[in-house]
Amino acid sequence: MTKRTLTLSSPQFTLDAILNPAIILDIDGVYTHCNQPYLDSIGMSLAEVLGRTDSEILPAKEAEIHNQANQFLLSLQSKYIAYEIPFQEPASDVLGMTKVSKSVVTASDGQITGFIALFSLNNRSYYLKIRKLFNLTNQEANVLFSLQAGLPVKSIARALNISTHTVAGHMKIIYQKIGVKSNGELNLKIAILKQS
Amino acid sequence: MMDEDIDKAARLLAIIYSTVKGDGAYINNEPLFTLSDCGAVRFSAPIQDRLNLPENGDLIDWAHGNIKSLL
Repeated sequence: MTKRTLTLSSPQFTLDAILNPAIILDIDGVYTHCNQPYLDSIGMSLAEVLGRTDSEILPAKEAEIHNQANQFLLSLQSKYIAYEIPFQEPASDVLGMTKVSKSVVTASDGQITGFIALFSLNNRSYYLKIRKLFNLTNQEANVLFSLQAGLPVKSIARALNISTHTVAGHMKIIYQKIGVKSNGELNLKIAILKQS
Repeated sequence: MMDEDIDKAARLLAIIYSTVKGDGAYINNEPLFTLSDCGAVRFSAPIQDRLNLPENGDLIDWAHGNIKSLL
């Protein structure tokens, strides 16, 4: 005895029901379907995406990461893979990481015919929340998130093209704005905020 | 959706899409799954067959518990 059924009328229908950005690619990495959250995340229209590849629509470094994931799956080492890609806030230089979960689409004989990928926005939302909550500047946010990623001060300075003294100055202001006195306190407070 | 859910959601969607597209089992718009009066999920046979594969042993319970919220 049943009271409700769901019939799949098209792959687009399936993706449209999902709140996270989601895409379907064919075996050559060509977009065959994607949902509106994905289009919003990359700032493009459906017509600009369908029929194209990551290399044609995304920044080169990002496309390279996606292509490497596709190649890993095509090598039959696994049917799914999770990885992270850097994102950059539009009109700013704030960096963050977005998780991608990608699985292979297979035919009845097991042959790979394409890929389905879902994107997490949790990290992105978290970064934006922290930046807004403590009124951090773009550069302060860059330093904070780089510290959280475990990068040493020298690496942060090199990545942001600033001196280590300037990084230290940003760290002092970050501590003041967040209300902590040490990196240990900072990590604890951020961890608590991440859970909330 | 939490990160661990995204992994499983991507795998389940791939199974559904693979089944629908690859097996030709849905030419008559057979339901993907049905709900009993008590809310229990019953997947269509082709999808359940794929979920029963050993490689999806960690996915099957999640699929039954989350397909309603996913779609």
